[in-house]
This record gives sequence, structure tokens and C-alpha cells, in this order.
Amino acid sequence: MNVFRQRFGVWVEDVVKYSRYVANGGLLFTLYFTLIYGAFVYNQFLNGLDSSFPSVWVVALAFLVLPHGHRPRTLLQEADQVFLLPQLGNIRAYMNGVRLFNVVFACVRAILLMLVVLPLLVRTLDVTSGEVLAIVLTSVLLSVVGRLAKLEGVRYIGIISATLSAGVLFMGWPLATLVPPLLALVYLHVKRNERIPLLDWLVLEQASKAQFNRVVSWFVDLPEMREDVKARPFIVNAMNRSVLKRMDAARYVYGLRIVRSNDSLDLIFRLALVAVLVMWLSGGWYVGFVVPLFVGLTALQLVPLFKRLDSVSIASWLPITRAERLAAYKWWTLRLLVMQAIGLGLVSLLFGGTWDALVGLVLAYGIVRYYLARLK
Amino acid sequence: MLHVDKLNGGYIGKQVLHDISFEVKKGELVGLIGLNGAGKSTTIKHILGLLDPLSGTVTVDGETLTSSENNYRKKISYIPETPILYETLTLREHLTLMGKSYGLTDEQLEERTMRLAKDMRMEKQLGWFPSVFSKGMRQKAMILCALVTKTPLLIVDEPFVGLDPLAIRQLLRLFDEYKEDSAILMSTHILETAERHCDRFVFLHQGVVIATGTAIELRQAYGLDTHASLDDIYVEAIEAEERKR
Repeated sequence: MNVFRQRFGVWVEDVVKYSRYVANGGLLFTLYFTLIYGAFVYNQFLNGLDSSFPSVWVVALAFLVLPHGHRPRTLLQEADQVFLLPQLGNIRAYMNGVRLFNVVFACVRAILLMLVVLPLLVRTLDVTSGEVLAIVLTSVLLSVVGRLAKLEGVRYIGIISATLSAGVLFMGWPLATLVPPLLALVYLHVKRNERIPLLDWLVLEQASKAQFNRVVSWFVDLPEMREDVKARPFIVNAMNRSVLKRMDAARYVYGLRIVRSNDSLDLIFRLALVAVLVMWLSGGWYVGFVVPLFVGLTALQLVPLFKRLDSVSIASWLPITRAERLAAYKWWTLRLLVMQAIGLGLVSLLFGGTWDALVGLVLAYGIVRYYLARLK
Repeated sequence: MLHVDKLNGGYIGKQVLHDISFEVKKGELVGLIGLNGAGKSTTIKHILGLLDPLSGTVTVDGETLTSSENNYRKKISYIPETPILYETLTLREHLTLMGKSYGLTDEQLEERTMRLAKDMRMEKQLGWFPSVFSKGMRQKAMILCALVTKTPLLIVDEPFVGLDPLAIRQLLRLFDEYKEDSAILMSTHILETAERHCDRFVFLHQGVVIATGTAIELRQAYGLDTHASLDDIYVEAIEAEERKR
């Protein structure tokens, strides 16, 4: 059986299995509610737009964003370093399968972004249907270029073609925006790998799988996950001089893990930034309610992190009981989420929040306590 | 220091250990010797309290896991066969965690950290994250974390895997130093090294203790001459056990 088809079949099974868990999970409610609220707020925002809105800048920004942040799947496994090695020279079908698989992903990503950006464009710019189609196709191609460039190990081609397309757009030739990504695709075809760069593709697969697992872990217990680490010497040194020094072992270890893990402090900042953006878009319409939504979303992702952190734990044989570890993790999570809620509450006041800011804060606290109580 | 008394245990639905009894006294380095699947790691997991026994008791310096979990755990440090480190903590922070867990003062921790790191040639790596450690460095990091605690009982599971010859020699020297005030139980396959450094041996076979004693006692027990190595004694013990069955 073709190796790619077999791996693809396993991937589909995984996606179907986890989709069922996710769809049935009670925690999905927060996500639904946020999406509905976001759509409503965006609609309000669109209604207030006029032709002075800088849509060209937004589309150009979308062009620049689309080739970035891709985590291509290669469906390789560590054992392939041994067992796939003899077949490496004769496995072009696998490589083409992987390329096609990733092209589909890239297209979906671009189309989703364009679904959000296009209404802006058609409401504020005088463009023909052909030009709109060209912009959509350019977005799709730029996304494909970004993803394939990672697979083929070709650097900078994504940013170069995106910059050129954005430049052409500013010059008022939307139809010509297609040219740079098309040329980039030709270049990628010329520079394509003839053999699987096994180690590079393994690293890509691990990073991509970790991202998939991270999303699934919001809904299902999925303890075996890789941890992305950032040293953050400034924050850690400051904490070492004050808080961490006095803490017990469990709070010490979770404090450091939370500060350094890509899934905790970064997550809080990322979601807080999105929350501020939503507040701005909402134009002051019940802006305080954005706070519990985004604090809830953060809690939804932070709470399952404990099980993952606890599964890779030398603490199992140290004199730290599970109850102490749990208490320490809750201690940190509660404080971080409350700080996020207070920060967002203050920002909501700046955007015109009144009584809704207070109600939002109370709701946010309730949601945090609810999610923390689920952690047992 | 360590008393294992009529321990029966294993995993859910699979009993691995059958009436295991042995002890490790203060000042002793005892080798836990057995084939793959003999029950060495299961025995260690029971002593660490990671598995619940079906029956029997494990006592460390007078404490059992049921009498006080924290007091019991504070008496044991452990070097696992496969290093397990937090990817988000530097080596020094791991040592600080050990210090906090085992109630060391800052001065004790600093003094032991510097001495052990120098002995294991890991001074430069104190500020590094485990993600950049080689396999041997990870193992050395686990060794540092365990030795810094100075607990009454040190349990070591296959400590030599991944270590270079210099590090093995240094580790054995540190074990000699460590056992002056403590007891060490070491599971290993490297019988030549075990023969030279262990004071006594516990032979495990299919979840049963088939022999215990010093090398001299075991040679006498199996009627072997004084030149018989631990390898010879071990093979003879296994064959004698299988003949009995």
C-alpha cells in the first residue's frame, strides 16, 4: 500500500476521532459564544464603514501575513529514520502526496482569511469582480507559497513574493498581484527536494503535531505533548528576586513552567490582544462583556495544561503530593487570569464600558472559578 | 535503612513480585541484579511509592508510605534509568527545586551544587536548559539532582547508561562518599562494575529473590571457587533456580 495513503488514512481517523470529542465537549460553548459575538461585532463594524477606510492596507497586511506561521504536516514518524531510509530514493509519490495535502491546508487558511477581509474590500473600494477574484487567488497562492517554502526548505521566498504583491496592489494593479506568487511557485518547483529531507520534515511534523495536540488538549486530556520553552531571563530574574525565592517547591516549579511555556503566558497576552481588538471593533457596544469571553477562552486553554505538565513530572517521586501540585497550579492560574480580567476590564473602560465592565469582571471571575473547579 | 518485607506487587492484573524481602543498611551499596523482566524496576517503583503493593511493607529509616507520605519521600532520592527533566527549567533551577523539596538551606544547596557540578564536570551547564543537553549530560543532571539531597536512601536504576568512562569513575567515587551516611540500592546490568563497588547483592529472578549476600558468601553458597566472577555466580544462581523448578 502506498505509504502516503496509509499515513493519510491514519490522520483522517485521528481528526474524526478528536472532532467527535471536541464537538461533544461542554467547553466548546465558550468558543461558540465568542465566535458568534465576534461575528456580530464585526458586522456592526462593517455597517459603520465608509470609503475612507484603508482597506488596501488591510489586504496588503493579509498578503504579508498569509505566507507566515505555517506548520506543514509531513506525516513522518521517528521510526522512519530507520525503516523508511532504504526507500528514500524511491518515494516521490509520498513527497507529492505531502505537498498536495499541504496545498489544501494553505488554501483553506487563505480562504478563511479572505472571508473576513473581502467584505471590507468590496464595501470600501471600487474594484471589479475580476480584480476581487485576482486578490483572492493571490491570497491563496501566497499561502501556498509560504507553506511549500517551508517544506522545500527555501527561505525568504514567501516574504519576497508577498511584499511584491502588496507593492503591486498599492500601485493600483490588483490583477498583477498574481504574478509574484506565480513566479515564486515556479522557483519552488525548480528548487524542490528530490529526496525527503528526513530530519527537517520530522521536525516540521513534530511542530505541527504539537500544535494539533495543543488545540485538541483544550477539549480532551492529551498528556503527551511537547513543550515550547522561552528562557525569558528578565522576568525570571525579577521573579527569582521576589516571589519565587519564598515559594514552596510546587509553586516554584509551576511558576517557572508557566512563565517559560509558550502555552501559558504567551497565550494570555495573545488572547488579551485579540480581546482589545474586539473591543475596538465593537465601538463600545457592551464592551465589558468581551472580558469574560476572553478570560473564559484563556481559562479553557490554561486549565488542561496542568495535566500535560503533570504527566512529565519528576515530582512524582519527590516529596510533593499531587494535591500540593494541583494547589500550586491553581494558585498561579487564578492569579494570572484575574490579572488578565482586571487588565481587560480597565481597557474596556477606555472603550466606553460602564456597568457592563463591572458585570463582565464578576462574570469573568465566576468563569475562572468554574474552570478551576473542574481541575481535579 | 531500607527494609523490604514480604513484598507482593506489580501492575493491575499482573503480579510481578512474589514475597520479596531484603534490606539495605546504612553505609552499604547494594546491587539489585536480575535479567530483563526479573522485577528490578518494579521493585524500585514500589520502594518509591509509585506502585501500591498487594501485600508486604517497605520501610525507609523507620517510615512507611502510609504513615507519612511526605516524610517517607523526603528520605529517598532517585536516579531513574531514563532521565526525566523539566524542559522549562535550567539545571540550576532543577537543583533549586530539589533543595526546596527536600528542605535544604540556601547555603547547603549552593555548597553541594558547586561541589557536585565540579565533580561531574557540569559547572558550565548549570544555566543551560535540558533541550541542549546530550544524553550523557541529561543523565549527569539527574545524578546531580539526586546527590544534592543527601537523603538516607539513594535508589539508582542503571546509572551508567550514557555516561563516559570518566563520569562512571567519578560517579562511583561519589557513591562511595554518599554511602558513608546513607544507603544505596543500585540496579544494574554491568556486573563487572557492580562486583567491584557493591558491598552486597540481591539476585532477582522472575519476581523472586533467589540469593542475597556478599560476593564471598554467594561463591560459598553456590560452591564456586574464589576466582569466580559475579557473572559466574549470577549464571550459576539462575541455573540452580531453574533446576529447582
